[in-house]
Amino acid sequence: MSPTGTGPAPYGGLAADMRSLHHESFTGALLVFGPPDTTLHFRQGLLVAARTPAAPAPDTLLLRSGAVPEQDWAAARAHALTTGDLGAELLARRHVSAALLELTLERSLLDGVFAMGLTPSNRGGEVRPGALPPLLRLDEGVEPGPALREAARRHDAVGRRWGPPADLARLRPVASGAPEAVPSTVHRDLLARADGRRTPRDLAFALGRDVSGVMADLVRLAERGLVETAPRPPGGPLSRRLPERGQDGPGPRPLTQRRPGADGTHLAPGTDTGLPPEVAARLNAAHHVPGDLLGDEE
Amino acid sequence: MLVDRATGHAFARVGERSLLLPAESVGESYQMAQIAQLAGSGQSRAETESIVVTTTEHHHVIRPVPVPGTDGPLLSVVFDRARTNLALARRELDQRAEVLLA
Repeated sequence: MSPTGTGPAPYGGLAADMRSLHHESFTGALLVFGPPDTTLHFRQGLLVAARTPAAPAPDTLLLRSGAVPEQDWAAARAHALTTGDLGAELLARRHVSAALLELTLERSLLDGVFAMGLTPSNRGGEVRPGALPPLLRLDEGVEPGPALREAARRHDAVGRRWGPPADLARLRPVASGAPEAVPSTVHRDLLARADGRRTPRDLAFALGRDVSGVMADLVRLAERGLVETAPRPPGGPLSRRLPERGQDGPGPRPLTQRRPGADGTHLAPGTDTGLPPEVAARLNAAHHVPGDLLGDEE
Repeated sequence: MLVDRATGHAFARVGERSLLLPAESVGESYQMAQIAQLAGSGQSRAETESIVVTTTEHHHVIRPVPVPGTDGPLLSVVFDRARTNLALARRELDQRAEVLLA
C-alpha cells in the first residue's frame, strides 16, 4: 500500500481502512457495502475470512470439488455448531488434511478480496467489533496489505490480457471449441459448463473453484479461441419483450380521472368508452351513486 | 514452492528464494507445456505430468500436486545440477507430492 493511505487499484480508500484495522489489532468484522456486500473477518488485525455472494466460500470449494463428501461434512458441521470451529472438527474426523484445508481457506480469502474489487470501491462500510467469525476461517490470518496486493495483481493480469475484469465478470462465456482441443481436464470441465448462461461467478460455484482462477482460465481459453467472451448482442432471446399491439386496433385508452373526495368513478370528459351510446349512458348513470355530490355537478 | 496454477499465486515458499522461478511464470510455463503436449499428441488424452527446465547450474522441476477432485496446485522445486541425480530426484519428488495435501 502506498504511504498516502490509498491502496492498490481497484481498492482505493478501502485499503486505508483495512490497514488501520490491522494496526489496531482489530478483532471483529468489517462489512463493506455492495452490492454485493462483503464481510471481512479480522482477528488480531489479520484477515481470517472473507465472505461475499460474489465468490464461493470454503465450504463450496471443498464440497463441490468432492474433496469432502457431503455426508461427512454435514455430520462435522452439526457438531461444529456447538464448538464454533468447523475446521478443527473436519481435521479431528480426518475428513481433510490440514494442508489442504489451509490452502482452501487461503484461496477463498484471497478470492473474496478479489471479488470485492469487481464492484466500485469507496462504497462505505461498517465496523463490527467482536463479531463472531464464520465456522471456517484461517487459524493464522493474512495481513491486509499482501492480500490486497495479490488481489490487485490478479485484476491486473486479467486486465492486461483481456480487459477490465469487471466487464468479464458480467459476461456469460460460450464454449466455441471442441473439448478435445483443450489441454487439461480442468479446462475441459470449465468449457463443458460455459454454455452462455453462466457468468464466471456461476461457473466458479458450479465447479467448486475460485472466481479469480476461473476468470484467469477463461482468458486463456479465449486467447486460444476455445471460448467466446463477447457480450450478447441486444435483441437476444433474453431481451425484454414489449407488449404486442394490434395493427389496426385503437390506441391505449385514457385512464378515468378521479376527483378528490369522490367515492364514485366518473369517466373523464370526452372519453371514448368504445360502447354503444345507450350502454354508455346506463353505465354512466350507474356511476352516480346516492349522495355523490360531484355527480350532480355534471 | 507451492503455486496456484490458474492465478500464479505462491501459497508457500521454502529455501533459497532467489533461485525460484517467479510464481506467475510457473503456472504459465506449465500450461504452455500442456498446450505443446496436446499439439504433439493428436487426440491422445495424456495429461502433462511434469516439466523440467535444465540450466547450466540447476534443474527446475514443476509438477501438479494431486488433490481429490479439485484444481491442484503446482509444486516447483529447484535442484543443484552438480549434486543431483535428476531421475532419483524426480522419483523422490513424486513420492512427496503424492502425500503433500493428502
